[in-house]
Amino acid sequence: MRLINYLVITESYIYRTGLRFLLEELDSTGKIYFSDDISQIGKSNADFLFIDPRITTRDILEQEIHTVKNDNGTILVGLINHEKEANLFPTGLFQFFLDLSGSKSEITRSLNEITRNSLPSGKRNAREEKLSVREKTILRYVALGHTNREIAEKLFISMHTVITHRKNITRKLGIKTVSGLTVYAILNHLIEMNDAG
Amino acid sequence: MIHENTKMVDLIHRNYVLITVFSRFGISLGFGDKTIQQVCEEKNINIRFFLEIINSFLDHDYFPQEQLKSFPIKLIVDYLTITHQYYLGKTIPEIEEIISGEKGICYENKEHNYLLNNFFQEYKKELITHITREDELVFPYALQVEECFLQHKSTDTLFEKYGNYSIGHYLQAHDNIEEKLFDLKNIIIKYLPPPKNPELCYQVIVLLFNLEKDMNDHSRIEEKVFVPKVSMMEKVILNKNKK
Ligand SMILES: [Fe+2]
Ligand SMILES: [Fe+2]
Repeated sequence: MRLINYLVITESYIYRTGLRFLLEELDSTGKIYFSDDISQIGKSNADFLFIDPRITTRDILEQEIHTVKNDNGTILVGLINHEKEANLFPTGLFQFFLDLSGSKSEITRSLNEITRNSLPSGKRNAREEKLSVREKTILRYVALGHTNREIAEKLFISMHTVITHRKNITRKLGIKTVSGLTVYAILNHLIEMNDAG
Repeated sequence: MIHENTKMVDLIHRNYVLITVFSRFGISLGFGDKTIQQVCEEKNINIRFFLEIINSFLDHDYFPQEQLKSFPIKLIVDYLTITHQYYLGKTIPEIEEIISGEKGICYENKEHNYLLNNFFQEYKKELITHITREDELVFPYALQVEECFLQHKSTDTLFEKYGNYSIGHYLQAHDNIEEKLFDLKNIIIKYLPPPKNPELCYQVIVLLFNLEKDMNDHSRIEEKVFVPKVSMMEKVILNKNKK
C-alpha cells in the first residue's frame, strides 16, 4: 500500500491542528505538509491538497488552481465551514469539499470517503506488509553490504528498480538504515551473522 | 500559550518532560508558587527566548521562527550546546546501561543481545560524530559569522579559517541522525523476541521515544532557526566584501 501525502494550505491554527489530528488517525496517511502560501500548490506533489479558500482572493485562488489542474492527478479539496459554502465556488474548481463544522466522526467519515474513492486501486487500503520474494533477495544483498549499483548488475535490473524495491522494503518493515536492515535479515535468517557486511 | 505569569509548577503539571528542558537553562526544582518571570529574573535567563523554546516544545504547530530568529546566535548556540551535553552525558548513558549494561536487557539467545548492543553502539558513534562536528566546527563558524556581521569586520580571518565552508554545506549533510534511532525502536518493539526482563524494555522504549521527540525539536531549531539566520548573515557579509 502506498501512503497518501497531504498538503494543507491555511493560516488557521485550528484547521491545522484539527486536520493533523484527524489525518494521523487514518491508516493510509503518509506525510502531512502545511503551508500558508497558495503558490505552493503548483510545486507540491502531494496526493491531496486541502485548501482554505480564505487564504487569498478568489482571483488568485482560481488562477493558482488552474496551474495544477490535470497534470498529476492531485485532488483538490476545499475547506468550508458550512455545507452551503460549497455553492460559492464554480463547479469543478474543487473536486471535493470538506465541511469542518461537524463532529469528529462526521469529519472522519467525509475524509475517508474523499480519500478512498478517489485513489487508483493500487493505492487503496490493503495492509499487506509481507516482503515479496524479489524484495527478500534484494534485502539479502543489502545486508551483505552490496551497493545499489552492484545489486542492479547482479540481478540485471535498473538502479531505479532497485531503489523502488528498497523504498518498499523500508516502508513495509519500518526500518530505514542498512545496519537496521542487516539486523532484520539476521533475525529472520535471511543471512548468517558471520556474513553480515 | 505559556506566558511570563504562568507558574513553573503548572508548566510541569502540563508536561513533565519540560523538566529536562528547564535543566538546560539551569533551573531545578522547588519552585513554590514562582512564575516564569520570577525564576528567569533570578537566574538571569532571557525570558523571551525561554518562552519561545517552551512554547515550541509544547506545541509543534506553534513555531515562532521569526521571533526565534531575532535572538543572537550565541543564545541559540548555547542552548543547542547544552542540549548536546545533555544527550551525551545523560540520555545516552541511561539508555546504554539498559541496552549494554550487565544488569540490562537479557535475551534467551545471546546472539540477540549482541545484535542489539552492536546496533546501539553504531548509533552512539554516529551521534557523537554528528554532535562533535556541530560543536567544534559549525557553531564556532556561526559565531564568527555573526561577529563579522555585527561589527562590520572584514571576512579575511573567516576565510582563512574556514575556506569556502558555508552553512549550506551543513544543512545538506544534516538529517540522517534520526534514522538509526527510528530503527532502534522498531528492532526492539517489532523484531526482537521479548527478553527475560521485559520491564527493562518498556523502560528503554520510553527513553527512546522521549529522546526522539527531544531531538526532533532540537533539529528543528537547528534547521529552521539557526541555519536561516546564519545564512542571512553570510549573504550580507559576502556582499559587503565583494564591494
Ligand atoms: Fe545538534
Ligand atoms: Fe544536528
